[in-house]
Amino acid sequence: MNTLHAPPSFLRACFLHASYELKRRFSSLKWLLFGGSFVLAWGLVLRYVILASTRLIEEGEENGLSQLILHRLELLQRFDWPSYELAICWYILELFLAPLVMLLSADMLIQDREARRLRFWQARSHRLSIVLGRCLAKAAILASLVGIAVFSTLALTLFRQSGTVEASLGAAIVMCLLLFCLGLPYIALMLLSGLFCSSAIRSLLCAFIGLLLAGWALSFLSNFLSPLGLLDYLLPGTHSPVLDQCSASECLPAIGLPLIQTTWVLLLALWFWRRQDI
Amino acid sequence: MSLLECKNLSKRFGQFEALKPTNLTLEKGSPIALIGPNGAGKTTFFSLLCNYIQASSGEIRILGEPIDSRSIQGRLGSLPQDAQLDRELNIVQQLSFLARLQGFSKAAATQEAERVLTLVDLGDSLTKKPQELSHGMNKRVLFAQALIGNPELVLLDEPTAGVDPNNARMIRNIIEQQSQQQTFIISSHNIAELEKLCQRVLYIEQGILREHQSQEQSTGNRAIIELELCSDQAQLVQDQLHKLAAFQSASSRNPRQLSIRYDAFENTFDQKLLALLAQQGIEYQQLKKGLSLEEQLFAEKN
Repeated sequence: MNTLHAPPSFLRACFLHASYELKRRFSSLKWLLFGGSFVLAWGLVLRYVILASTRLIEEGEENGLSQLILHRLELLQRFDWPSYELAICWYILELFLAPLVMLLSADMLIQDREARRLRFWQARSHRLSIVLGRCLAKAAILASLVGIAVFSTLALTLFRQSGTVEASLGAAIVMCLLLFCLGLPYIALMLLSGLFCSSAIRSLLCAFIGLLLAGWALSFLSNFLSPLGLLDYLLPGTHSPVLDQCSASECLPAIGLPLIQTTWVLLLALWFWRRQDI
Repeated sequence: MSLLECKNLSKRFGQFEALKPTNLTLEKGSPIALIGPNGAGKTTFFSLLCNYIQASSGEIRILGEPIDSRSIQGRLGSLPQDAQLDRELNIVQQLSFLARLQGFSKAAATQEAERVLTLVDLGDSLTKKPQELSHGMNKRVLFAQALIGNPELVLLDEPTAGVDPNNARMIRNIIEQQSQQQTFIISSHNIAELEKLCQRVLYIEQGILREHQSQEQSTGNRAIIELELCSDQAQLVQDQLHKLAAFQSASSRNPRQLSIRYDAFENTFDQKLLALLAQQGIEYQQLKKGLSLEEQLFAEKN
């Protein structure tokens, strides 16, 4: 006797896929090691980069290293950061966000497609819900990593009493939101790249090379037709110049650009995915 | 409402036409075998039915609905060939997730996963991960997932490939039991196994799919007996067969086997043949009325 149940709605299926992905990722030793390594590495960054740099700047010593740090952190003069710690944290995360997100999203569907596991899920849910669920799961991991990094820096700031609680907390939240949005286009990019690759490493290489080539091509073409240079903003990783020129709260409108980048790359990936054999 | 309806269905991989334009309608009922040599297009046809791959042309309707329709979900179960389970989670967690995708609540999904795993005699391995199970047990888990929610149509691609005879027998028994309520389409190389399970046959070769008619229906007034002897005495029996009134002809593929054709109206031919064998002191191993499926397909091909 068929025990037919109403299949879950599309959104519900997306959440089911996302929660399953998180559950199995955090059941694997590889991902637990990844999480542990990140926490350990960030602990070292906090102690030996952020804290050490802050002390150097605060002590105002006229040595080469502090000058170098200050020079590299020109943003400190422009940004209205409530503390040096958060400013340095922002600088580091902005720099390493792309490789980090690409690494954690490198295997979005590849292993499951190669092991033909996708067939079990596709028989029971819409194809798009599988990939959107995956993207949600990766976005949740990204949010967690950014949250851990930013709020541990905030804790350091408050512990050292080098900034006011209210201002630091506000800046930390905005930072989290900005960094999260800046990471999203890379998740979409890795989804797209993974559709055409048979391993996570190939997918990473493909994404890097694709970004480089697209950047060069646009730059070359803009020599002949300058408006084409604007298309550069559609490439994941291209930031709004606003991000480098204003305070954290003023940067907020800049999240529009990464969201646009995420949307078009994701739509392109979904278009290919719908037509792909699994 | 038909179980399955294909209209002008075809699939190309570049220049290679893996499935030539096919029109087919199947009704619910007894298990259906999908047979064909390697590379004939079985898995392509199977993958099209499961919507794993996109058709180059044509349309498929299952239970009256297009295959990408939401209303098909949960009504169609499938066992894909070579699919592997996740190594990170135990089997009941994985099957519960599949049940949840079919609309079961969390508690009901766990119950359903346990039910189907118990059905394939894995009730005591619920918390094991796939790598802790043997190949045969993993195959049974994969078979179990196809039965979640008792779908109306179950597609099985090589369900007993690489499985030992005991496990293969268990899978066959479950198919036999379940086929009272569900329709199975089974793709396999093992024709003898399919012959035991299936009353209907789809034959595919070089991308051409057709429904096979059994010899009993198509040979009109001629009947066939397959005789297997204990020793090399086929020639001796053949020489004696003209004594039987309804005998038409006989052919021997080896010294122990004979295919005997006789008039179909003679209902007692088999008994007379046995009496003849007893009279001549010839021991036989097996006597079977009609051609085996393999022989029918071979005969059709030639």
